[in-house]
Amino acid sequence: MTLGILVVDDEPDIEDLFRQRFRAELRRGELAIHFATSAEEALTKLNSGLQPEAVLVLSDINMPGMNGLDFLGHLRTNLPQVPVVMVTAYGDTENRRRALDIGATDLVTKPVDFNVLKKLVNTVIEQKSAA
Amino acid sequence: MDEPSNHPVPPSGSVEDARENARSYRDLLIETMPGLIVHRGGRILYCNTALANLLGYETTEEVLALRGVLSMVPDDALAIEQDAYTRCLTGRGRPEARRVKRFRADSSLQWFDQLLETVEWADGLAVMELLTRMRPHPANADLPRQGQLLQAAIDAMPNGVLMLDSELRLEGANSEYFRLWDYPPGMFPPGTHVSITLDYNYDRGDYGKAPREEVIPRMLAKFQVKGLANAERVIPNGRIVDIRTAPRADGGYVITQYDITDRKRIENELREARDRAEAILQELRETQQQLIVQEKMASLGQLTAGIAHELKNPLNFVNNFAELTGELLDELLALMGPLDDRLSPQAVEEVDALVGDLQSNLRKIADHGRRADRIVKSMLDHSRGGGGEWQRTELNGLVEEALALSYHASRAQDPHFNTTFLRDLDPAVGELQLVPQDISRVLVNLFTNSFYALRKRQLICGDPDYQPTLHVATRDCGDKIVIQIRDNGTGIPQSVIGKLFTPFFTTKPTGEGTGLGLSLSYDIVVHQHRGRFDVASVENQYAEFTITLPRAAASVSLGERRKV
Repeated sequence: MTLGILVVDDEPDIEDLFRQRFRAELRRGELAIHFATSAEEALTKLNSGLQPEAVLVLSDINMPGMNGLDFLGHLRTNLPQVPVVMVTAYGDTENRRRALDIGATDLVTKPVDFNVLKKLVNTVIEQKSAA
Repeated sequence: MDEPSNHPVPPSGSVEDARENARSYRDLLIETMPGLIVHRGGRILYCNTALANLLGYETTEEVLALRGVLSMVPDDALAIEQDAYTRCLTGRGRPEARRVKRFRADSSLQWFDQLLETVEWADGLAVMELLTRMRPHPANADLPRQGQLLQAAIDAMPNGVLMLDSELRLEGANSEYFRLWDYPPGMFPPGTHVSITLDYNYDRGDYGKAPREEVIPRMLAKFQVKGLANAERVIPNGRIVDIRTAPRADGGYVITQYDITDRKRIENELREARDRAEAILQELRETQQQLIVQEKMASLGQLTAGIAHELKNPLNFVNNFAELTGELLDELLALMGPLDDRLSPQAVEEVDALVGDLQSNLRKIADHGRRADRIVKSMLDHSRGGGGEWQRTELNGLVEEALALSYHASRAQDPHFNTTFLRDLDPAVGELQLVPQDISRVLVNLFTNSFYALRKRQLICGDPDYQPTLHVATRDCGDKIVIQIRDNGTGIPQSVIGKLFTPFFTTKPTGEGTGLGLSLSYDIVVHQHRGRFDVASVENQYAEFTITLPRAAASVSLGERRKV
C-alpha cells in the first residue's frame, strides 16, 4: 500500500530534493509525497483530503505566515493521530524543547541527513502500521 | 567705655533734673553691672536683666527663650566656647577670664570680657558666665585718641591682628587674636616680647614634647620671614589658621590671622563629595563602556546567529544535492554500462574522464559544504555562548577533565603524538562560580591549540631531544584565581598576537580551523565571566595563556545578555 507524507517548507527546491532522495520508494509505490510551501496551504490540503492520506507530516519551523510551531499546534488539536516531525535550521535546545512540548514526534536539523530522516520515516510508518 | 567716675554729673537744679540725674546714674550703674547668665549643657538656666540689656534684649524672658547659650556664639567661636564651658564644668583650674564675641539681639557682633566660674545650681554644677562690655587694656587706656580709634578698628576686624615692632615686641593686638589663641584678655600688654607668648604656648603644652630650645627659635624665625608669608597652621585648640606676615616700612610686622577652620571643613567636605562623585562617574563610565561592548557583542551575536541560520538552508540543498547527484551519477553509470560496447574506445576513455571529473567535483562540493556547515556550527556556538548554567564548580577538576578530553582527541587524530604534562594545581583554588560548559570549552580550545603547536614543532624541528611539554598551573589569588597554560611548541609570531582573538582569524591551513576558537574563548572569559585573558609568547620557544577569573562574578550568560 502507498503511504502519504506531507512536507511543508517555504523553499520550493525541497520538493526536488525529497523526490530525488526518496526516488526508490516513490518508484516502488511505497510512498507518495505531498508538498506545501506554507502552513496555510498545508492546512487547506489536509482539510480537502489528500490521496493517499498523509500518515506523517514533516514541517519546517521558520516560514513566512504561520510558523511551524503554530502549525504543529493546529495539527495537534485537529489531527492528533498524525505524527509530525519538525525539520529546522534552528536545532538549539530551546526550539527542540518547545517543539516536543507542543507535541512533535521528533526534530531533525538542517542540513538534513537523509539517512537519519529515512530511518525516522520508516520507524514512524512501522509504528503507524502496527497500530 | 568711659569709667563711671569720669562721667560728669550735672548739678541738680530741679526735680526734673534730679530725676534725670537718677536715671543717668541708674543707666550708668546698669551699664557697669556685669551681665550674668547660668547654663548647663547649653541650656540657659538663669540670666539677669543686665545681661539681657547688654545683649540688646528688653527682658530676661527673651534671653531664656533663646535656643541655648550657644545660639549667641558665632560659628567660628563655637568650638572654643564649648571647650571653655566643658573645662569650666569639669572644675579644672581657676575661674577663667576671656575675651569673647557674642551676637546681640539685632544679630550684630559685640566683644565682651568674660569670666567663667563653676557654680552649684539646683541639682548640680553649672557654668556661671559674667559678661561686661570690653574694657580697653590699661596699657591702651592712656593712648591718644588716634590710638584708641585704631584699637577699636582692629578689634572690630573679623581676623586676628598682631602688630610687632622690629624687635618682635608686641605693639598691639586685637580681641580676635586673643580669642583665636585662647589667651586671657590683658595677658600680653604692649611691649611684651613675642617669645613670651611662645613660652606661654609651650608651657600649656601647645608644642608637644619637643625641647623648648628647639621649638621657640623655630617659631620665632617664622615671624621674621621677610615679605608676605603665607602659612596655614593648625593651632593647638584644633582650629586652622591662615597666618600672613606683612612687613612694615618701619621694620615692624603686621601679622593677620584668619580662622579658616570652617572653610577648611567645607573644602574637605566638598573635596570628599567631589571624590565620591568622580568615583561614581568613573564607575558609570566603566559600566557604560562595558554596556557598549556587551551591546556590540550582543548585536554581533544576533547577526552571527541570523547569518548562520540563513546559511543552513542553502547549505542543506548544496550538501544534499551534491550527495544525491553523486548517487544519480552512479545510477546513470550503471544504466549506461552495457552501452560502452557501442562506443569507440576513445569515446569510452573520454566518458570515463568526464565522469571521473564530475565525481571528484561532487566530492569537492560535498567536502566544502561540510566545511561550511562546520563554520556555521561554530558561529552558532559562538553567538549562543553555550547557554550553560552558572554553578559552583571545582576548578582543578574541570581543568583535569578538559586536559584529558583534549589529549585523547589529539591522540585520536595522531596516535604518534605524546607530550609531557607538568601539573601545578593549587588546591586553595577550590570552588568557583562559573559556567562549567563554557569554561571547559575555553580550556579544551587552549589545550587543543597547545597540542597542535607542540606537534607542529616536533614535526618541523626534527630534533630528537625536543621534548614537547605542556605546563598547566592554577593559582589562588584571594579574590581571583589564575589558570596558566604554557607549551613549548611553535609559539605565536608577534605579528599574529594582536589578531589572536579576532573572529575567523586562524593560522591553521585552510579547512582545518574555523578561526572562532580563541575569539569564543575570549568572549567567554572576558565578557561572560568578567575575567582577563593574557597571552605571552616567543616564537619557537613557548606560548603562554593566562586566564584570570574573579571569584565573585555577576552571573550573566552571553545568551541572556543578547535578549536584553
